[in-house]
Amino acid sequence: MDNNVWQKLQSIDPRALYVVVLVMISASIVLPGLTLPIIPGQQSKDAFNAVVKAANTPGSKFMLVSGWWSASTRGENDPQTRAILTHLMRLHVPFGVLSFDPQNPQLMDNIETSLAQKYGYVYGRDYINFGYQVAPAQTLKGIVTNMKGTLKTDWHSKPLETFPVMANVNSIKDVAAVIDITPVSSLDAWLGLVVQKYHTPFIYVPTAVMAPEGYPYRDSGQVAGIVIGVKGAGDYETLLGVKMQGTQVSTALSMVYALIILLVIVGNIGYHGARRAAALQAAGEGRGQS
Amino acid sequence: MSADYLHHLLLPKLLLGAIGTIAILSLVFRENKLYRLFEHVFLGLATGYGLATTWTQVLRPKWWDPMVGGGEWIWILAAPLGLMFYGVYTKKFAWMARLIFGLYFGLAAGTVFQGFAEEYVPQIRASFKPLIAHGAVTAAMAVNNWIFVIILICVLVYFFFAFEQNSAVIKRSASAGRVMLMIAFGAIFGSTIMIREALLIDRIRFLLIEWLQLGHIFR
Amino acid sequence: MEHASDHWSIGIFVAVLSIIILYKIVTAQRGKPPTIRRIAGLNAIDEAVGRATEMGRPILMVPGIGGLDIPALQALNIFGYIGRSVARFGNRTILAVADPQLVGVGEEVIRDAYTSAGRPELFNAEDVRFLSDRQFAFASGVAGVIEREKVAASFLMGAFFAESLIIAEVGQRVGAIQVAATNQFTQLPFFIATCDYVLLGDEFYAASAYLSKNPTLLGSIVGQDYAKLLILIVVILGTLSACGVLMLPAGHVHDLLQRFMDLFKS
Repeated sequence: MDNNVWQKLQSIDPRALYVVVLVMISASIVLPGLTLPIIPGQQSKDAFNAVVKAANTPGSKFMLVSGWWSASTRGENDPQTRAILTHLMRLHVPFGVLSFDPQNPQLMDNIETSLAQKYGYVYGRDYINFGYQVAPAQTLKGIVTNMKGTLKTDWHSKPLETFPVMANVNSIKDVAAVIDITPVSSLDAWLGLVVQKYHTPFIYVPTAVMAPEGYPYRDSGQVAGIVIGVKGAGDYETLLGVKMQGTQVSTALSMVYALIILLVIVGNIGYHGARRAAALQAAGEGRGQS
Repeated sequence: MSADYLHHLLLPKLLLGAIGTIAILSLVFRENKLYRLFEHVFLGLATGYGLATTWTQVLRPKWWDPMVGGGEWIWILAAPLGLMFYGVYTKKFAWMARLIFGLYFGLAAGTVFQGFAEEYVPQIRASFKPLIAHGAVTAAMAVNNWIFVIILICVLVYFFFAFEQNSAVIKRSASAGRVMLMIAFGAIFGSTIMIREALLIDRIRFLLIEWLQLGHIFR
Repeated sequence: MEHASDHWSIGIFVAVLSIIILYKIVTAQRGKPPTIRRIAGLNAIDEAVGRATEMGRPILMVPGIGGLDIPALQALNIFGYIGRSVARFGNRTILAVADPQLVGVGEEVIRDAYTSAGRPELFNAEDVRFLSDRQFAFASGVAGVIEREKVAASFLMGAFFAESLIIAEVGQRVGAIQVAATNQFTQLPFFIATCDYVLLGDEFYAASAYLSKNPTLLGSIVGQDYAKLLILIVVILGTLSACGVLMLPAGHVHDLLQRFMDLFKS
């Protein structure tokens, strides 16, 4: 085949591809009938089961949900947060939200408030928002031994002692599980400073780009489960038996993945074809000269 | 097009968000003036937001209110310490900045020891994997463990810098380590495409559903 | 260490690793600094600087978005070397930072580079730019700089997160030669796909030590190598112990091997 064909396969105009991707995503979002089944992955199932197990262990059931995300990664972390908080509220588990980004308290509050109305949760009695914490490492070190002394107030600057949900929560020992919803490299901080003390179950809920950081720790048992990106949110929703944003996005995601696989194959065919054509041409020229 | 729908389309927070989204996305086609405008708007907004949150979320609740409202006047010492950072801009007072940076790094370094022990020592323990199929360890598990140990050794050898990789064994192990790293990176690349698509999908959802109302949001 | 009393063996292990590294640093500072092998990626740096000079277009350096941390300082070490090369050729350097604290430090590094190359008049403080501390605002800003300045070479070194691909893809589109290095292994695949050369993991720190010839950094790299060797030996012994514990019947040897493995149990 003509070498030009191989080159064309490798250099399809990216603008055309962008248009195709846009059309695919738009169609899957706008047409409700266009849905693909979701098969939850093992990582998501482990995370789900870890939350259930922590909710059923004797003693304090209070869970700590930490948020490092802002509006920049809303696309992944928002559905993950909704799925996780839905699960906690269904299990009637008290929880506290700890934020390490200035935007996070408000974003978490929006989600908490909308779900709380649905599940009859009351702020202060069933859940609390500790607000933005400036120095993550110092805060995490502090909550290991003295949570109220370290955090002091909630997001609205009310002393923690005034909230019934904090009555028996004094240190990390009183936390049944830690759920970390993050787009950054926060695993080091939690694993290195907090959870190993009492082997508190740690569920890692990262954006897809940070998920590989969690795999070695999953293997060693330091992380109880991983909810990976918006796919993980879709898995979690399937395990909960609900259809929320994660489910809605999963179809679009699957279609784009299929397109990318096809393009990688096409590009590689072009690359190897071009190399072969060049080698054949060089061999032909060599024979011509001799 | 009904009046309500038009009113919804023209709501400032939605309209500005939509135009901003389209403007920033337009870079994938070509650099243009609209992108440049919104890039500067984005940078300006982000900087302004950063300044505002520095006061409202950090300085006021953590420093000003406890100091002035709570009577904790010791917090006043934070001001000169914080100002010492600015010494880096002058040659005369650069020593002040070095002092405070040194303190900062020293405090951080102290926690690194704990972090290393609690994060990585369990990893070392978890790498003690039996290589023989016996009892609870099946043949498949044993093969996995062999693959794990070989990759671990080859990758560690790749990252030795203190000596030249002259011997054939070391050279081949290091090359194998590099190949295995590339395979791992390919796998990571595949999994991280998800966030790119997820963020794009979120923006398209915003445009099509929240702004243009062409579908409904699953909640 | 907070939990040393619970796990004394782990404390001793960490202490031994620390002593090895400290010993190597101290001996490097006192006597002849150790040598480390040249990292292959360093040739790419020189090639990039040369190409940019031929094209007459500026060079962009980005020390990551992690703020004033170790990767950023290591990146600035390398940027000092690059700055000196660029200054010798009379070319222009742009440094884009995401942390205001890095503006002063970055200015100092680049100014010193131009001064030591004998071209202080070429240094322009406005080419050291704080763009934004918000991740994607910073990415947009860097993308804009790359497009408008038509940079010929970009050096992306330090701590990067999700914005890495945005920055590197724009650089690839304008035809810039790109060299990247990061401690974030989740971002390495993106750099490998879009950059001309990537320093993997520890190679970044080794490159910084190699270029700066700083005895502390060199000693630290060599000390870490010995620490890695010790960890490798422990892993091999642990693996053999795991095999022994599995195969051997309960007894003296079995208990000894199990105890060795439990030394590292947290």
